[in-house]
Amino acid sequence: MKTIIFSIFSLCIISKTVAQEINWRALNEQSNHLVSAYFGADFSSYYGISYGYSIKNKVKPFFIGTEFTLPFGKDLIDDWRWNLNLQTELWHNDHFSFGTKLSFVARSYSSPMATIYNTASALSFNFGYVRPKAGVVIIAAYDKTMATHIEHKLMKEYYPQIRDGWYKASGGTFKFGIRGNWSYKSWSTFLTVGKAYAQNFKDNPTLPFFAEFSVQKQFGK
Amino acid sequence: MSEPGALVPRTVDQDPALPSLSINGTILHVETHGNPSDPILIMVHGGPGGDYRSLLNATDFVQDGFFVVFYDQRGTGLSKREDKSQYENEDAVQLYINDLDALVTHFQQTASQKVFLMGHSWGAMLSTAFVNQHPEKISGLVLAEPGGFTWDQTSDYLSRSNKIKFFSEALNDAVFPEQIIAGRDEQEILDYKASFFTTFENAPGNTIGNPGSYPFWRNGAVVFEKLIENAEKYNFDFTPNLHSFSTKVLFLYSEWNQAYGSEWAVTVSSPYPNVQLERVKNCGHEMLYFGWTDLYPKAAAYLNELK
Repeated sequence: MKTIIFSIFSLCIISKTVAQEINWRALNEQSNHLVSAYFGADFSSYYGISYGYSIKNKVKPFFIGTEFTLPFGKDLIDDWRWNLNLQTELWHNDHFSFGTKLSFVARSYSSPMATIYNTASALSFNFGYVRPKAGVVIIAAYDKTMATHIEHKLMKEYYPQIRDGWYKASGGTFKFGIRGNWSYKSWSTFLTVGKAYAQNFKDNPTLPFFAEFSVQKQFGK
Repeated sequence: MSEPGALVPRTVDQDPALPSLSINGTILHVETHGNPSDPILIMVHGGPGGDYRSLLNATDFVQDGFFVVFYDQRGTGLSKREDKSQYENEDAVQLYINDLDALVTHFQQTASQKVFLMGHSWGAMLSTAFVNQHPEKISGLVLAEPGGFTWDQTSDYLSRSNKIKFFSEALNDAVFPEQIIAGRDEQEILDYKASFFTTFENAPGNTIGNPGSYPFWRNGAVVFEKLIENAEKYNFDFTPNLHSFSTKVLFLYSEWNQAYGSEWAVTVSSPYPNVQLERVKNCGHEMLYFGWTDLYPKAAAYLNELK
């Protein structure tokens, strides 16, 4: 089993550390669905929505979810991020919780320079003090690109020999942050802040900090 | 992805067909136009980390009887990449002054052959740094919107010219790819990533008044990053000896650059004792590309007067 889990984690290496987050202690037994709306800054400013569905089982609580994120800017859908994720709580006691989130990520980018499609996988862990009405956790995440397709536009005009097409893994990023949440009845709010680093800790993002505010509603079957 | 020629053009050490010159311990991308015995006009491009591709209109000066020299500065454009350690010491800018000095020495056939410099943006700052050290070697100087001649001036200008609009498409166009191409050490990839920032600088409504993008070969990402870091760490002042340069300087500023204007032009040019200020119409900061129609006659009149 450990080998399988390790293999999955190895295959799926985060574009988004946050968005569809869960306070496991605030979950209502009757709630199967989580819907969130969020905005923040992560490389660029953005907003988005997410949905999560609880997979009930006798071993561990799981949520399978999806997130769709759009950067701010006048061109509405020239850039976007989408992910499909699986979240679970690996361990907890009365007050502390250790959870993880595994994501498959797809990104699209378009500007006068180029159009880029990218796939990546992401893994994040969170650990902290969590109560039914509030909590605070620390987060560590890694996002590894898998494949990138680039179609050049203006750059092709300047350099006709530039190569369009598929490129293998083009990099990765680490993120470290802290997230607080407050819950009331079936509503929760999350505030996350942190810092992003390139995988070599040198070629770091121009806007190195990330932050997100999200509002979440849980509802039943 | 980092394979030579895949995402950015090959440099002079990778493509022997490119015109080059081995000088001062590096290989520069250099091309010349005109009669080598005519007065020399050296074009000094902006950046740091830019290249001379957008300055090629200046071949027009050949018809005015000038020998025009274009070069990509050390580590940028199609010149050979150098290790970043070259740009980390306090005397990094001195390396660029010495490269320019080596070019003057290389092309000047006799002591009486006049040498002129035309610098744009950072190139105008570098030209001033050169004149500050070697005023006797230069017979005339055209400066197009240098940010400043001290680091305090330059950082002041940069804070106005590169104002970030947090929710803008322009910022998004520049930084979104950083989550896709991240954490790679290869200079080729860093150069490629840097090219996405040209859309930010030239996006609609940009502060510096550029109507769009302009052609370039390769952004020297390491040169840009390290020279800015170097300036922040050590500061610079290119002005102490400018008072000894009594020759008239043609100082150009553009009509559309909202971060510049006549007031800033007067402030920046003030260390020179003899300045002719001119506004270049219908263009922004990239005036040697977009504003050539108005710039050329002004510069030609000045250069021909001193030739």
